Amino acid sequence: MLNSPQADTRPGEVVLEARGITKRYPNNVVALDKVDFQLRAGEVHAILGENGAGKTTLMNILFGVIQPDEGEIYLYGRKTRFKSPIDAINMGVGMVHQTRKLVQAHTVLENIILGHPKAGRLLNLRKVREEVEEMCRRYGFRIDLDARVWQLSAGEQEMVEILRALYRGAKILILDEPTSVLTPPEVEVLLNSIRHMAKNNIALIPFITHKLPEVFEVSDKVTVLRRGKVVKTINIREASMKSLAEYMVGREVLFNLTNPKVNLGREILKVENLSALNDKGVVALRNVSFSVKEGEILGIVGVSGNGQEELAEVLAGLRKPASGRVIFDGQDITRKSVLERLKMGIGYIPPDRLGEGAIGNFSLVDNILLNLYYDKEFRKSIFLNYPKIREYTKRLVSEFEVITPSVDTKAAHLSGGNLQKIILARVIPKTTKLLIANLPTSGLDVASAESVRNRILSCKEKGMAVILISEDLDEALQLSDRIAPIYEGRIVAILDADNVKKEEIGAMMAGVSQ
Amino acid sequence: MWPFIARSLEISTILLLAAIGELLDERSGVLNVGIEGIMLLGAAAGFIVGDAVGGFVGLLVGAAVGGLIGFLHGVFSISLKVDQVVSGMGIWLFAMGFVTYWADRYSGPLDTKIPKIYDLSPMFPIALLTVFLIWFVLAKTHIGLKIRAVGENPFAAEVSGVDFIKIRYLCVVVGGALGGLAGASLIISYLGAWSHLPTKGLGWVALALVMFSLWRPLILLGGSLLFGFLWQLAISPETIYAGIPAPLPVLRMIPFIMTILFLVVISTETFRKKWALAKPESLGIPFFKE
Repeated sequence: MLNSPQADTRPGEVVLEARGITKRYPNNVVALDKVDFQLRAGEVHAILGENGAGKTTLMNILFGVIQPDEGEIYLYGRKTRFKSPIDAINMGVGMVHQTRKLVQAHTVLENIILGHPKAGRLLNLRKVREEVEEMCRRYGFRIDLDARVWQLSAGEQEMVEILRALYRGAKILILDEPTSVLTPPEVEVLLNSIRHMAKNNIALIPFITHKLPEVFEVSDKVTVLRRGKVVKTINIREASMKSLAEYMVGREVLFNLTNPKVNLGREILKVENLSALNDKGVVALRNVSFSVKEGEILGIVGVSGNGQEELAEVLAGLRKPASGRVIFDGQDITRKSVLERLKMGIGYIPPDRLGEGAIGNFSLVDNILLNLYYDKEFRKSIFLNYPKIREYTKRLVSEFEVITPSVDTKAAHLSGGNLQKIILARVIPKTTKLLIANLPTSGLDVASAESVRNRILSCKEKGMAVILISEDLDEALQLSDRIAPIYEGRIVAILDADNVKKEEIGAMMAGVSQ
Repeated sequence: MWPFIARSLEISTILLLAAIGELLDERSGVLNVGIEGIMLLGAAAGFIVGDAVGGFVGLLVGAAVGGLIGFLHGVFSISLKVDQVVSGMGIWLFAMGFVTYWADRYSGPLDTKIPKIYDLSPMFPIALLTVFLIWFVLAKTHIGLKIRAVGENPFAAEVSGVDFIKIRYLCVVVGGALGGLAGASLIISYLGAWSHLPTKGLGWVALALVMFSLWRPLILLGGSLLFGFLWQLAISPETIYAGIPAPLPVLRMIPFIMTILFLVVISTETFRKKWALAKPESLGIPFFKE
């Protein structure tokens, strides 16, 4: 049952303390090394770190999924062990998962009360509904309790997860990458409810990899992890974006991308009334028209699943359009194959690095070869010229600063950032006119993402036309010359990126305004 | 007329018991295609015990055997994470062989029978009650919500503090017991004598009915009544219409022609969409922890 020592917590009192937490995995990897962490009631204490910094391990320990090898956890000053997630929940620790753990076919209310003793043997929905409604009022949530979860947006589903934790009496809430899949207006709503919860004396621990700016909006304190160690715990007022990123990465990160203006050249790509179906046979792209010129980046920004994936595939030749035309450099390429497009100088960076981008079990040399095999330069009559391909791969690896033991390493053994560099190295030098980059920085750590962005800018400087597809509005605004929000398969507007309001585009991405 | 209706209600009873058990299984996310096998084992156990001790004890033992086999299916498909179809098929094959070896040496009618009320087996009202009970549990109680949640998304159930393993075991055992009871009542209160593999595919019909019912007990009730009628019509059409013009072989085909028609209906676009919505999302997927 629910303990309630937490009921009389005063603001500022230490509610959770971890001392010297160490976790080793069987292959002798130290995931966490003597981590200390202190959380006060009503505090928002973000934990920041790159992929592999030990965030997930720490989160799992605080929620009782795994046990630490050394170290102690104190809850309200008393030494505690969370034997299981249920144990943690019963002691007032809640968790909001990044991959939603909700029953899609059930209503919001059913999801919130599921498994809670208060709901009774015979479901007394009227009584629990009143309680949940009262809770929504107190924390400022607005949600239809009778809606089915599958009808809700990503942001609303996150609310349901938060409500479920609060209903179970959570006084400490762990949030796993809370803003990563939300639209900008949804992020606003979430940040507001975080403030509300903090005011009601709930302590929150958001775990964050990529989205630094949002940390600044709500957090009081930040703890930065790197390679399993606490690098720094700092009050947010004393921190800056730049300093936090440097703590995360361990070296200087350049955040001052300069987006040079390049003289626009010819019109390279023109798309007319393009429509396409998705894999389920439903119309995903509706009557899209736009054009891109040499030396220009067109940013297409939208929440995942609004047709941008299909657009990129149609442009790369991977998907047949249902109607419309694609004109490349004055030539109709609507019916041209992927190979023909490659040869014409169109490069494509797919969103799923290990799925479409590279073959995990192939060496780097073979992965580079995937875009070269048709090139006469790398062939001797009917045979591949392996020495030459190896030579070329080595050159690319050093030019693109890929960190790898050798060029014969399997692609799957590379980190996300290095793998993306290999994919860029494969595509960019062979691309002469048009680069289509679909989610080029998704899932990358801060430093790798910056280097990918720099590469894309340098493509533009060389006079290529670039189509950047992104779910990250900040990134799109930073890189693009013109920006096109996409919603339900339609391009809502095409705007000049220099004089546009972020909120305006955010609303268009969410389908709010026209 | 009444004897015919009573007999078809008795066939419906068997379909209903087997199918409502299977429905409970599937709502918790476990598919049991071995329902025909469970019915066979329940029938054999019910027959042998019923012959030696008495009809009601036979029914109870049939249900107990069914529950045991259901538990076995649980061990395979929940704990050992074997593919649920493979485990179910295994149960069916085992049952066919074992029952042939075990029960085919018995022959002749059962001495002890269940007393009938107005010429109708008391199992019919029991089956009706079971359907309403299971509907009530699934729709109105907390454990029903837990069962449905486990069938949809065990991960969500787990983080809500639901012991999904326990829930799934509960459902396969109860579902198996209902299957065993269906088999036993087929022998004890409908056929009254053993014959080689007496279930004759009724278990498979029950399985199809569950899918067709969109996992809703009340639609299942309608489907079972209809198929009970058709099944009986194929066996003894003369009781409903003496001198019926259609030749017997054609009448024998009716349930199967209806099955084909059903298949046509359920493969239409509209039905498929409804079906996809109603299907418990994690049906047939063993639970693997990340």
